[in-house]
Amino acid sequence: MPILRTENLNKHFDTLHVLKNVSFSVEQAEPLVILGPSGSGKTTLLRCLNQLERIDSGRIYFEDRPLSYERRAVYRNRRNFGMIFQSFNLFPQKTALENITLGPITVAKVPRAEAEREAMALLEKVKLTDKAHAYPAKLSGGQQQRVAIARALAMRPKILLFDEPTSALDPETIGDVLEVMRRLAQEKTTMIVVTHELGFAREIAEHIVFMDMGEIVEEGPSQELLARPKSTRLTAFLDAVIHK
Amino acid sequence: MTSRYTFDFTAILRYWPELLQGIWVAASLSVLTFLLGTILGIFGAVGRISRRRWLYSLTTFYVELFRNTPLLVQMYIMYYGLEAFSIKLNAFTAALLAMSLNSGAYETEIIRGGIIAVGRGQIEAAFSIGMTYAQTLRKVVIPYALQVIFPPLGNQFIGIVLGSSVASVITVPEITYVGLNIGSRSYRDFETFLVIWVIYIGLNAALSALFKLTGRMAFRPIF
Amino acid sequence: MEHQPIVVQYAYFFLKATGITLGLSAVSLFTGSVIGFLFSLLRISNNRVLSTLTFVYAEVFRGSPLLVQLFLVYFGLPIVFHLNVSAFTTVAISMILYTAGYMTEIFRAAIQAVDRGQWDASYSIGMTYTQALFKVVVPQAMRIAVPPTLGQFISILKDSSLASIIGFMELTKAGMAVRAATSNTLLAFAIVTCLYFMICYSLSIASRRVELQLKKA
Repeated sequence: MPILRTENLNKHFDTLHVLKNVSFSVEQAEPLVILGPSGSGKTTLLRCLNQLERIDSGRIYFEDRPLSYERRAVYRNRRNFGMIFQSFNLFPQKTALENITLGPITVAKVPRAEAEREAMALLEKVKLTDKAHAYPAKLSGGQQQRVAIARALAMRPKILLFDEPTSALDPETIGDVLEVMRRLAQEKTTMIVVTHELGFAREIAEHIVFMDMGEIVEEGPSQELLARPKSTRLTAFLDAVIHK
Repeated sequence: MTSRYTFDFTAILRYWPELLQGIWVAASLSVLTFLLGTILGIFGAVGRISRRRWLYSLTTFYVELFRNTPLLVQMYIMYYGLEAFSIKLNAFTAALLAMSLNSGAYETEIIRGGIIAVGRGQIEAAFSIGMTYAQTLRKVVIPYALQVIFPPLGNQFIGIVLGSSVASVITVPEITYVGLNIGSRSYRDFETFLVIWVIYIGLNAALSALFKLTGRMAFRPIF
Repeated sequence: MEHQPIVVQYAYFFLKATGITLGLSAVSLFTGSVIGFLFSLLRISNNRVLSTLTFVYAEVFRGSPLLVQLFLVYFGLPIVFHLNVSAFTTVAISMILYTAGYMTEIFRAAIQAVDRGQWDASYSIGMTYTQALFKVVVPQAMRIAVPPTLGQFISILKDSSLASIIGFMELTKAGMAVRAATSNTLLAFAIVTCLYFMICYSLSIASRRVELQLKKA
């Protein structure tokens, strides 16, 4: 049973039809990569999954149950997902540690001491224990993103959603973030990653979904898809990215 | 706590000719203030970006003096204070002088902001395609600066209109003064001022809408 | 010089009046801010009625002269509400209502100026609207609101001069009183002007410095 399934999702921004009958599914412990040119709707799709955006029609099933859009249900549903943003979105006036503990303390009502212990463990996991008390302004992009990953993990989500996690990073720091993501994949975390990084897609993803202009054009096992693309659009996309 | 107070607006609405007169005085005072203030503002802005020390200091002193003291005090000085120098201005002139100097200080900063907003990039781009200083000024700097200063100048004008109420204190027969007058004659000060209040709110709303509309039309040409 | 004794004699008088001006302004700013903050939350809420009401309040009190509002309170309280209050109370009420209108806008703008991503991040870790607002967004909005609030305080200090018109003894009235007592118009006005200038100019410089500091962090 797939942990997450969408059925004919449609979304419009004003008159722009951003998602067109999008249906796909994700298995537990499967790293899924969503590839596509900008404007293909992949970020919007991701944001619909944790209900940051509302869909116009269609259904999203989490663990075989449809997602409710009632306010309190939405707040609860979101805790099943953890999102990592392209622009990190760390809380600027809180230290790295405080960024990670804010969720557990405020939302999950975890006692401070316990939250901090777990936060330190997570910082250890992303190799940033020495920056626990640093403010985001003092951290490099890659470090901020790793703190953001720890922050998402602190809520013990069942699925991690990555929205172009390395697009805003300097080439030098990308490696550190990818390393963390690699390890998460090895630990069988369910991940959905929207990215441009073909290399990462090749290495980590078991399954790839290719989107263009709001629709899923092709999907399949990653080796297959990348080696033998069936659609002209995917072929063109791969050509363009490889030759950049 | 509230009362047997019976509101009677008719008693004051029969004074509408006086109210209209008051609006006219306020309007003329405001328009003249704005015009004079703009002239002062242009000179002031030039001085505030000048590299000549004396000009910069003079204009900065002017701006800081008039922005950091109350308009009421400035009006009192023009009306009562100049007597020490044997100058006695009539109320309207004194108010106009005070309000123009006051507005000029604010407009200096607005216009200066507009000039600065143009930024070196656009000017360098113009030069690199061969435009002269004068052409750049005319075709690049001024159009963009006008667009930038239009909203704050609109707000400044509205501020002048609302600020004209202070002129009532030195007996200029604008809206508030007329209100005080009607109020005392009809013994209905509260109703009078409710009407006066609504007049100002209406003027504010109308002017705001007018400026917004004009701005949209003038600066966002045909799509 | 014959000016000296006047200045020294009335120094205490002017100082006291300055203190009253500062006190009145501070009270107005503080109370107006509290009300303004509450109103700003209503203004950004999804409740159409509350949002519109607070919008109208801000437009009305910012879109009309303080002097007119002052007269309304001055004439209204005794006549309509049968309340006979001190000049200070009249002035304070009027200035608080006026300031609240401006502070509503200042706080609203500050909250909306906080990056959208902060809301996204807060929601993603499961926070409710209220939690996101008070734990993440409002603290950041407060920093953004500091420079305009300081500017508003300087404005209030100058606007407080209008209280002299209904006889309240603050700095401007003090100047008029001394002018009447000494017939030395020039000196009286000079002192009043200097006092206002010194206070407002220093605050203005301080505000610019604070703004730079806030930009750095």
